[in-house]
Amino acid sequence: MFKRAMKRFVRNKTAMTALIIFLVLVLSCIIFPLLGYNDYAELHLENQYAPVSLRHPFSTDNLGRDVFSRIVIGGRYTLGLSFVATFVALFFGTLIAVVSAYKGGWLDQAVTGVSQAVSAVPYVLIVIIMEVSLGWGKGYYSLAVGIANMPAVIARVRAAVLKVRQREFISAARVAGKSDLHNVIFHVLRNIYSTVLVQFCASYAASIVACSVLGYLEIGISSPTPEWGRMVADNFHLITTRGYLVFIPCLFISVSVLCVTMISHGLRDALDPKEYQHD
Amino acid sequence: MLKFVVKRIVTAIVILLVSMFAVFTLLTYIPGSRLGYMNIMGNGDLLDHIFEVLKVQPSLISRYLRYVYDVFVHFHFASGFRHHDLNAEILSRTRFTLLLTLAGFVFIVVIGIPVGTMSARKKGSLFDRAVSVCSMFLASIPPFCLAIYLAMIFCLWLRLLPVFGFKELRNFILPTITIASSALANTIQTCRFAIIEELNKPYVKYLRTSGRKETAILFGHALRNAMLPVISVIKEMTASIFVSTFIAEWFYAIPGIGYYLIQGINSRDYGVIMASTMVIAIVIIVFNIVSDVLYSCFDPKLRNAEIRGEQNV
Repeated sequence: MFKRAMKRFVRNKTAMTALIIFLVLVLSCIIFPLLGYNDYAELHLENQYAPVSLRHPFSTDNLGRDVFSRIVIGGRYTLGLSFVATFVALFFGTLIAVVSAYKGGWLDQAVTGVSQAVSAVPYVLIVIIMEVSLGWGKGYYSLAVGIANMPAVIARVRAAVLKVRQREFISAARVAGKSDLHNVIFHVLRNIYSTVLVQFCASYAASIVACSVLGYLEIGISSPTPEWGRMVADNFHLITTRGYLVFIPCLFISVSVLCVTMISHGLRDALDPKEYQHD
Repeated sequence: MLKFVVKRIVTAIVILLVSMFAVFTLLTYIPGSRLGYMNIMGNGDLLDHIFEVLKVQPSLISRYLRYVYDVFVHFHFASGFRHHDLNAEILSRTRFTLLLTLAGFVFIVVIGIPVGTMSARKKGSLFDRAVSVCSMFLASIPPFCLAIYLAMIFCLWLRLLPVFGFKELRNFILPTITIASSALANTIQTCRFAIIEELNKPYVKYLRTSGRKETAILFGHALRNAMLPVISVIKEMTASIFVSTFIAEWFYAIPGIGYYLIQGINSRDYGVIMASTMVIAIVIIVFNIVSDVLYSCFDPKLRNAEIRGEQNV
């Protein structure tokens, strides 16, 4: 079942291209800083806006810092923090959704109500509240982004669990005297993994957007640390004269979000071909 | 219908009060208050001494109730750093934010529903595929990136539209597009999918065999039934539309409530944070109630339940 889905995914050209581009992006964010090529924070005021060369593939910014190394380090923060956010959203979201949907009753109603209330609040406000209580500019906001992503995860996973719960094998397992824990682990989770996987990618795309938006609004990570959204905000006053300083981080954000979205669409089509047939 | 609306409003007020209490509590206990600053500047006991002399330091709940009383009865928000009286500031800023968000919603409805319908009608055509690709791009590009691309194309390159300013109508074109983009893409996709589903249903076949015109079927019957998922997706996107509004205000320097909130956050101005959060929460809740009422207008199940006088709506 899983093997066949993976075969379908590999045959999907758009999704595979997106996956390859995204992997190259992630690997370069991991590998290039280790080479010690240029320092991302070292100032060279005599070398502002250096011409494009092998040493400075994306030129340098207004303080003479190498843009390429800043992008690569920034990618670690943007993509890494969004990964943390996604992990938080998926892990706790799935846990809550499975327990509440499987148990049903007042617990389910309470969870649905609270997650609806959370989803009605703009995530910027949740992030502000979290940052205010945990500390500014240190990356704790990824937890808040995770919490803001949770309602979407809970809604989808809950719907999937409710569908599985009505199937015969669950009642059969119950009649056979299996415990709820056994049912959840061996039957429910096994049948909703495709939803969780697709939701992981969708949530990751949303988290990258959220993290870079927070960086852009200057309430994300603090300034000397490069983060893609923050880099846009820092160089924004140069948009008329040195547009590339704004354009390059913007392009990286857009490309990574687009890649993750296409991967999630590909996964969705591959894992559940009947469910999501659009045409 | 009236009962339904009243019930929604009461729940909304409760939710508002509880969430405001959460914000209030957090803002009270975080480090960095003005009194705390005084405490550092003077000797450590100064604050305790002041409280002792003035016999203040009431409990959290009574302070919160006092705040709510001031806001809703006297219409007086707490003061901020820059402005002693926030009322005028909040009012003028709320006007801009409301204008922008409404423009965004109108844009979504006016563009999204016809385009989605047409692309469902011509399923598989070049137009349909172009719309699908465009809406995927729009849905995944973060709003501020889109704003930057738009500014680069229309302002720096083509020199057609102004980037900043909020006096003329053409100043609001780019902000509206920025606000609406991702919700618009989602609306188009949902509308397209819902109408394709409707067109496959038996009643459409009946209407076709009885000789109705295709456009009449499409707009008179299919679209009407497809409105429910469209309304619910727009409702789901409300929060993200507000985030986009903050970004558009920040980018295009429009003095709205989101701009004020972000300024307040960056200068740790808790009076401003509290007041703007409250206003935004109220606006969002009102939008939610309106969309719930619209939903119940389009949903025959809810409507009929109301006519029959059933309780569990």
